[in-house]
Amino acid sequence: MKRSRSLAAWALIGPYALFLAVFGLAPAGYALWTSFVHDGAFSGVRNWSAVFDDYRLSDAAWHVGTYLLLWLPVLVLLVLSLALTLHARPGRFSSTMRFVYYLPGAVTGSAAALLWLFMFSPDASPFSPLLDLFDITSVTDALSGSTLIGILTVMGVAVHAGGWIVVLYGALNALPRDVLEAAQVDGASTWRTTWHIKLPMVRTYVAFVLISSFASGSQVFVEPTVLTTGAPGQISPTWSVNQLAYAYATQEGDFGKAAALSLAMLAVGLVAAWIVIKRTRMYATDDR
Amino acid sequence: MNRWGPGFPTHAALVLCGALLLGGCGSGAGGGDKDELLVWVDNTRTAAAQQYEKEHPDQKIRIVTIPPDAGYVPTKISLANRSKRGWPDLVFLANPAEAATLAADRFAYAAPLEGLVPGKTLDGFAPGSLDTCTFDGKVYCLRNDIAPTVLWYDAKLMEKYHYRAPATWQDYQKLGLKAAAEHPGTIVGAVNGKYGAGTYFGSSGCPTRDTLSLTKVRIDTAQATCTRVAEMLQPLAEKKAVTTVVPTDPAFAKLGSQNKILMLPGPAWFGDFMFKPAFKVPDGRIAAAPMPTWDGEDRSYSGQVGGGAFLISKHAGKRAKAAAAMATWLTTDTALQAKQPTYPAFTAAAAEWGKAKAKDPYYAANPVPVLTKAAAGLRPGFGAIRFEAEWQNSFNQTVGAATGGGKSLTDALSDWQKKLTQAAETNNYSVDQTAG
Amino acid sequence: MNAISRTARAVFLLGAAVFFGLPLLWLALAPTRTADDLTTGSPLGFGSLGNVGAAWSHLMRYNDGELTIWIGNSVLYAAASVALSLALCVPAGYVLAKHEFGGRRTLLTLSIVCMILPPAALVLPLYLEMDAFGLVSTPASVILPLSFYPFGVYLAFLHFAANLPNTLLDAGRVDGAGELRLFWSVAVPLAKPAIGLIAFFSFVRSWTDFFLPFVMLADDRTFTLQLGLMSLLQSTGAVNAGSGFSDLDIHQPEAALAGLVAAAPTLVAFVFAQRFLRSGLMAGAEKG
Repeated sequence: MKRSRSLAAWALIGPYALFLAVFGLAPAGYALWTSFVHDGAFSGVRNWSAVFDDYRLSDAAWHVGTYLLLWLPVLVLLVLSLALTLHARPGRFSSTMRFVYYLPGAVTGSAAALLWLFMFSPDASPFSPLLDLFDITSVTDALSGSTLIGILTVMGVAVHAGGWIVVLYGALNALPRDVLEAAQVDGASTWRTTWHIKLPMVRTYVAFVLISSFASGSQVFVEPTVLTTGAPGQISPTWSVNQLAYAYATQEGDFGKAAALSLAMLAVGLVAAWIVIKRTRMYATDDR
Repeated sequence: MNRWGPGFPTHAALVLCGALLLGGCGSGAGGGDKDELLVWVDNTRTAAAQQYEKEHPDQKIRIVTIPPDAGYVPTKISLANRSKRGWPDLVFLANPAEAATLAADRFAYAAPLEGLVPGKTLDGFAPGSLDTCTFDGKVYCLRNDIAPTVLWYDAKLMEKYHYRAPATWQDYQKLGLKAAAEHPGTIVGAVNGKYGAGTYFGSSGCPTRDTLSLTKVRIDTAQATCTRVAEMLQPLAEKKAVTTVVPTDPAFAKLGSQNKILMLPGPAWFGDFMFKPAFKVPDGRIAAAPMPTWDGEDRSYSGQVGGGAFLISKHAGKRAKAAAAMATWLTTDTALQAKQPTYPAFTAAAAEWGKAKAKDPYYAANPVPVLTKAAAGLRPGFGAIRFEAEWQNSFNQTVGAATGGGKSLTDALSDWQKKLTQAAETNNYSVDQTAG
Repeated sequence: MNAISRTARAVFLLGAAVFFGLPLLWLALAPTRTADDLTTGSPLGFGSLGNVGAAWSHLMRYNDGELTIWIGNSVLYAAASVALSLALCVPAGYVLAKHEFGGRRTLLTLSIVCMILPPAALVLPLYLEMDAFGLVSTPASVILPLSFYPFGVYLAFLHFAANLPNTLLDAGRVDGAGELRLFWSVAVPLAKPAIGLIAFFSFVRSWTDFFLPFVMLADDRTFTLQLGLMSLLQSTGAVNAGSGFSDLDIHQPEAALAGLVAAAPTLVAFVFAQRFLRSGLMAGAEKG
């Protein structure tokens, strides 16, 4: 009995495990190996120390740290509050809103470069009153100095929130209705139901949002790259740590350094993931 | 209920079959044919390559249109270097600075053209235009088009304000200050990225990317050729007569539609591709003057902002001759080059190109004589570097920031020096600060 | 009190809708306008439908209408990788949530590792792997790595862990159903919302992925829409007038139209996925 269950489990998960090995672990393992190789010969920690000595790294790490501090809380709070508010009263309005919230995330690549170039152009943007409020007179201006981090935060939230709202809403929607109805019969207020019943029940999803968002925020790449397309030279080509890793791999043809820096970023993401998983007991199977 | 039958042990098999089927669809990596010339060009050069293919039916050619993005060619080449196949025999570089990457030891891709392209052909290119392609005395690429800077100006505004296009930088500065005082909001230049650094500092001969070899670059922003630019721009910056807004910014286009661009030193392509489509300055207004001259120099020199080049692969083997023949035709054929959008690097072709441009009703005066002179007066010492993006950004962070923030530009030069030195050293250059 | 909270809710949701919706509204209007009007006209002005037609015909002049080839490629790559990733993710997520077996935690952890591994580390390993299989520049070189989708496995895992009661499975076992049969006839019908969500995110990822096609594809005729559009918009200087020069008359309105064409399938997929979301757990639980 036990044996057949275990066999069945492997039959179901086998194909995925195979792909995991071929397209995940093998490349990751090879990357780890490359990070210790320089010009075809084993070179110890040479690539790693070269990366950590790179003058561009400290600036990039500082930028990414600041970005995470601003972006992650705003994103998570906005996603949670919008998903819970929408779920408090499901219906056509709520589903239209979810669609609208998702819209900015659908525009990618060069078209996103155009879109955001104009969104941050005081004369051409529908947000021009807001831009005026911050004394922004041109895109060049918006992307210079301390406004850049704000611009990136706004863009990052706009692009990423919609997808997570859908995930959380889906999780809330799948909650058993009897529990929620019981709470309402008890006379619990909407706020109390939300805070004490709904939120704990979707905590694993919130954990997942945190892990993924932390990783994607600490590996921010698309937003600064996209803005650079429209206004070249304005943002450092290695503004973020991930951009630096890409620069190693693409412009400099140095895969060893690219691998070393990527694995360092992975380590940071894993530490965060580990903390979240421990705190939320995400891996438990015995919930219900 | 159970659609896959009891147990369906086929799940894994199905997935794998699917994967294998997909693999089966593929035709394998291209370039299997030993005689087939693999040619990578951007979209603008695709039609020309196809024409060549048609005219040479005996030569098998495979043409691939590549994105012009910085980094695309180096990425593909370094991957091909690892898999030992897939190199294009002939490739167009929309960012000729990448020649410095592709010729360097790590990539070892670009072939020196010695023995492939006769010296007589090389002599036909605009003087100094092949400097970008030359390392340690060897030429590694053929320039397709060049982007010498000229002093663009609005002839109608000049007339209306009773001004005249300046011949020296001293007059340029004076006129800029006068315009800013008499007609607030008017600008006479842009100090941003490659547009600022290439136009002002490049044309002055300020050594910020003077490549002495593939591993040695001269950077010295303390030179008089640098400080004279900073001093000239300083009052213009304080009076906002020059802007730090990048010319591709919609806010810059607004300056054009509001008749605020009196002068704009910039590359040859600004006329057709900036003033006309982006800044929307109407027909009959824009004209070109030579770049102003510096005290103590008796001629005008131009900087460079852009242009393209063709490289031939070291791995082309017996196809190298055919690749060289095609590259030569693409860059030097006068009939072909006469039709291309930007200024041809090959002098004879540029003359043909100029015949059509001379009649262009867009310009207030025929810009061709000025462009021709500018092409013949490229300031030496503007080489292809492996830190092009940092070169642009570091300029904005230092000189650009000082221009916008009302600080000393001369002081900013030493910050720029620091950043350039760091960028160069990280990219395997030794920096020479004294030679020259 | 109730009226106040209802108003507050509406203000919050609609305010967010303005923030997320305006960029897309601008983008949707942009192809109707002229490039000149985009910089000087009112930010949300409407031009004419004729301009949209003109913009489309300009786009089609690029390499003899290569745009349609890219759309076809993208559809093929996305359809194949969505199908394959669903076949891998759903059973894997189910097993990870509902079976205790050796290697479960390892698989969960390795999936997270692969999920947040920065792609710059994978450029070389994946390329060399595909080269060894002889697949470089074939559709499979993009489809196969895209089908490995740990994010989808996590979505399935979280869904089954939270919403599939063990009692339901045990009841099935008592009735003598085999493990694989339990998965197919109990778990899968209950997972429709999650499957819709995974399919959607997997589609978005395949449709918008830039990195794999950039690295793997060496012939413009095999490009995806994303990669092709970047090529098109950059080489015509449509977004950044200094990035390329051509006489194709492709400018900002054309770039906006291209962006809409690229975004439309994502939005259609979103609407489809929403339908799955609504068919929540209860429908399935009653059947069980």
